[in-house]
Amino acid sequence: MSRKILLTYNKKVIKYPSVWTFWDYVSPSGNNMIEEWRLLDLSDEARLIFDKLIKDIRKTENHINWLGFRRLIKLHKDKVWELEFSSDGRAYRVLGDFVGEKQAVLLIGCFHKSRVYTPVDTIEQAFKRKVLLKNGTASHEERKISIY
Amino acid sequence: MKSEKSQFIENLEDWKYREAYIRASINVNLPSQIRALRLKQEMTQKEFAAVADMKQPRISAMEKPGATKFNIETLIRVAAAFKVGLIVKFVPVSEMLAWENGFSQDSFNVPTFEQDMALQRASASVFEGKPSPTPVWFLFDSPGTPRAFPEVSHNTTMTPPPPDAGSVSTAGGIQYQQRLG
Repeated sequence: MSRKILLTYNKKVIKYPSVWTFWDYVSPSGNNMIEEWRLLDLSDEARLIFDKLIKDIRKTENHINWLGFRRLIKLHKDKVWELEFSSDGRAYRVLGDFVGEKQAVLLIGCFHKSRVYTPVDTIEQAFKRKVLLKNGTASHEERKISIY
Repeated sequence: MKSEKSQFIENLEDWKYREAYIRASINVNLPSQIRALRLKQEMTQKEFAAVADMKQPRISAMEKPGATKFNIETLIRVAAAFKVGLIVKFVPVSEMLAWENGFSQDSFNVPTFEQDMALQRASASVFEGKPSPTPVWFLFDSPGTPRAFPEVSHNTTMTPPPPDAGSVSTAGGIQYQQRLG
């Protein structure tokens, strides 16, 4: 007999709070842009911090409390979230979007210094990628969480 | 193709990688703990800064992954401000990993010394010389100096004394000694 206990409200099963699932943005040509950024632009240490950060925040229910959560960037009526971390004296930003209950997609990663994003069109790119994901031109791939 | 585990072990052969790995762990785990404790104690960064006698931007930086190079003195001040203890210890990589994998900001909580029941029990019998309703055990790494006991941590269980322990007993390489009130 299953020992699993389900919470119900008005006979509706309430799902247990689960961890967040993170997805990487995959361009229309099939390139995983987050993994490319992670491998090409990040040092060993920055890569490890990024991996550990994602591992940490996936267990934090409220995105406002995510470690490194900075702000929501609004453009017209649309918005993306911004996450920050530093390594080797450099600041990094990751912009992403929510795509469902406890589902978030990482849209773009970049450097950040003195309020300047590198590449400079990072925010525009993030919104562009969001649109491409919405209309199905681009896709996303689940980010594997390393336990090491 | 190598498994993730064997690749990780191979990477650890490299001194530089080991250093980066430990630094990355500290740079994420410490800010996460500080943020978790501050939120659990329902303090704003400004309020916590006042308690810790620091500036708010410094607290903000301490909660950003990788933005602060922590030193022991800062951690002592933070622990004292949170009214909790602090253990800095060297451990096997596997232990660090297990701790990290089990850590969750939402469930992490450390009782303050006022809420620390183990401390309250110990203080009644040991520090005031009164008999304790439950035996108080001191833990010795044999040979060595007494370790803090009872060990209370968010994810570790208390090590019970061996069932046949007398006033001095050894089990699993650990020496237990009962302190009579």
